[in-house]
Parts: sequence; structure tokens; C-alpha cells
Amino acid sequence: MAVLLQKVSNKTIAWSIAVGLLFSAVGLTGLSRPIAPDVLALVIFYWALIGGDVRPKMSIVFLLGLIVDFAEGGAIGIHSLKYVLLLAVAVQLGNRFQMSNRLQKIAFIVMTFAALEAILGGVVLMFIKTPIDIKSVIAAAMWGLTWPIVEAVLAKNYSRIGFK
Amino acid sequence: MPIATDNVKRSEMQFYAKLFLCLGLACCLIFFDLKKQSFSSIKQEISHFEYLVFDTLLPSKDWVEQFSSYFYSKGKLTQENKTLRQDQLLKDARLQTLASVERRIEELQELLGLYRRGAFSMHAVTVITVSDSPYDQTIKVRFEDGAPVKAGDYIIGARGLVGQALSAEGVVAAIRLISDRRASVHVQVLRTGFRGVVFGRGGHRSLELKFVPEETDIKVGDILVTSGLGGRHPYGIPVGTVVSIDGAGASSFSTILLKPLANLNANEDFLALTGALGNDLFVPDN
Repeated sequence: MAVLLQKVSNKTIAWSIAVGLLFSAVGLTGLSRPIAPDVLALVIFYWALIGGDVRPKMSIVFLLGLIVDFAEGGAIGIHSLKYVLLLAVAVQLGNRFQMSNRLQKIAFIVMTFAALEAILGGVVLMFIKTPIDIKSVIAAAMWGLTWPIVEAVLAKNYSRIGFK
Repeated sequence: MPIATDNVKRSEMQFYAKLFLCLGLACCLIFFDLKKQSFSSIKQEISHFEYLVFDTLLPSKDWVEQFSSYFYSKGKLTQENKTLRQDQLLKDARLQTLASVERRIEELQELLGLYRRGAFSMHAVTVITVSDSPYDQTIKVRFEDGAPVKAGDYIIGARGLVGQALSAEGVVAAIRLISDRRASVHVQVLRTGFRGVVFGRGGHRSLELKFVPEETDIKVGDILVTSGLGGRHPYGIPVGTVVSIDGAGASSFSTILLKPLANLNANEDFLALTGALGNDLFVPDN
């Protein structure tokens, strides 16, 4: 059983990714880096969960991560790793995600972001003896709660039209 | 179906291959950056470029800040303006009250001056009711308990004659104003000494000097005072001033209209002239 979707305009996807990149790379939210939201991650995860033609390609996601890394000045490859893992999670669990209710979806998003942040912290710890920043893990989880807003903003360009 | 299954499996294999490739590449990049500091120069160049970009955009950032502060301050100013307008309205209302209080003080001061200069016995009276009828120019006044106010006493304001008491019971007296149709006062033109009778015209708060021959020396602006003839009125109380003179038409008398000098519309305080008649009302200031 699959959900039929209207075709999403590529322009819409491109614009949403561009805006997310601006917020993540330039830091327009005005918040400091450890607790600033990764808007691009939310946008990529959204389109990845939708699935089908709108799912971003692995290479593009990797490149976007590199851009954010160079713009932030942090460790190169961290965001690439993060976005690639998000894509993988979305591919594996996307169908189950779409069948869940709203509360389950939000819980899934929060746990995914928190876990990812912890994994990335662990990766950095492997190379340099920097302890995992608990604040950034909690902040990432909290920003996961904005998922309904992301959904509301991006979902208006398409609608589910039925089941096959 | 086997073809479709093979395609799905192939695409899955491709996906996982790409995934592991990207994961490996990302880990390598992280290793080279954190351990070997391989990308330091590139990072420095990019941060320098970012600084240049932000430095170029900073004036527009200032402009954006000024723009937003303009609207913020505009909103604040609008709100402040609204508050100030409301305050202004309240203060205007209070100011009007103040103006009327000042007028009252002036009138009371004039009455007090009159009281001090007058040789006649006077008692203060306060208006309590005014007749609504246009045909009945009467008021009721209250006076101090024990004051010898009686029917026939003349009531004066700070500037002139107001009327005459019709009756006095207890502490209340009924006063007929000089503008009442039934009121008449024997007057004398202050300038020429010409004597005549002034009648009230009713609701117009004006007076008419009747039976004045056309050739009489009287002109607009002349002041008329009570004549004191017959001992019925005290002499010298200002009554009115001539405002118009219409030449004789069908009759041989001029129609002369006067404006009362006293403020007949005042609803506050007057003086009642009590005591014996026949004396001059006022003594000179010297």
C-alpha cells in the first residue's frame, strides 16, 4: 500500500533547502552555535521522509553538509555525516513514520535528533578529547519539537490524494 | 516480478553503497580536519571572505536596523500621541472648569467691591431656580436667614440692575427680571438727563425705551441708570446701554432698544438692596 502524492515542485524543494541553508550556515536565528537550530537538517529530513522523487540525493545532502561545515568553521565533515545519517534513517523508517500519529512522529523526530547529536559528539570525541556537549544534545532534541511547524510550512505544497 | 524484485534489490544495494561511501568520506574528512588540521588554510580563507561579505552588508544591516527601529519608534510615538491626546482632552475639560471658576471669582470680587462702596444696605442672594418659560422672566433666590429681604427690594448684579423682588418667604424670594414683559423701570440717560421708562421685551433678554420723541438727544452707546423719581427706585443703578435707535415710522416716537448691563443669564450671586429708599445708591470712591 502506498500513498499517492501530487508532484511537488522542484522549485519548492530548492527554495526550502536554500532557506534552510541560509539559516544553518549563516546563523540568521541569532542564537549561538551550540543551541542554534539546524534548520537545514529539519528540511532535509522532511523531504527524505516524504520519500519518492522528492527525496534529496545522497550526494547533494553530502555537499550541503560540507557547505555548512565550511560556513560555520567547525569540523569539516560533521554536518555531512549528520545529513547522510538522517537520510539513511528516513529511508529505513519513512514508511513506518508516515503511518504513525502526530505524537509518535514528534517523539521520533526528537529522539532521532538527540541521538544524532550524541553520535556526532562521540565521533568528535574519538579524534579529539572534547566531551560531548550535553547542551547541544538537549537543544537538538528541543528543536525537534518544531517539527509540526516545519510540516505546516512545507506540507501546503502538496496533499495526499489517496491510497493505492 | 523477478525483474522488479531485482531492480528493487539493485537500487537498495546502490543506496547502501552510496551511504557507506559518504559515511566513510565524512569520517575521513573529520579525521583530517581534527587530527591533521588539513583544512585550516581553507577555513581561514573562507572566514576572511565571510568577514568581507558581512562588512559589505553591514551598512545595509544598519539600514535594516534603522528601518525596524523607525517602525518601532513610529508605533511607540503613535501610542504616545494617543495617550497625550487623551490627557489633553482631560486637561481641556479641567481647564474649562478652571475658566468658569475664574469668572465666578471675578464676579464675586466685583460684587464685593460694590458691596464695600455702597452706602445702601445690601444682602447677598444666590440664584436657586430659573424660570424656563420665555414669557416669564423670573428667578428664585435664597438669602441668609434673618436678612431683611422683602417684596419690592431691588436686586443688582456687579454691573447693573437685575430685577425686583416680587415676594419673600422664609429664606427664598421670587425676583422678576427687568427683561420681563411686565417689568418697567424709570430711567435717566446719564449723558443728557433725559428721563423715560424702560420695559422688558420678554424672552429676548433686552429692553425697550418707549415713548421717546424722535428729536430727543439720545444715541447708541448711551448708558441709562435708574432715575429715582417718585422714591420708588434708588437713583443711579445702571440699567442698560442703547444698542439701536429706529427712527419714527408711523408713530412719532423712536424705537430704542437697550442691552441690560447686568448679566441676566448669570445663575449665581446678586445683591439685594434692603433698607430705606431715596438715598443715592453709591458713594463716590473719593
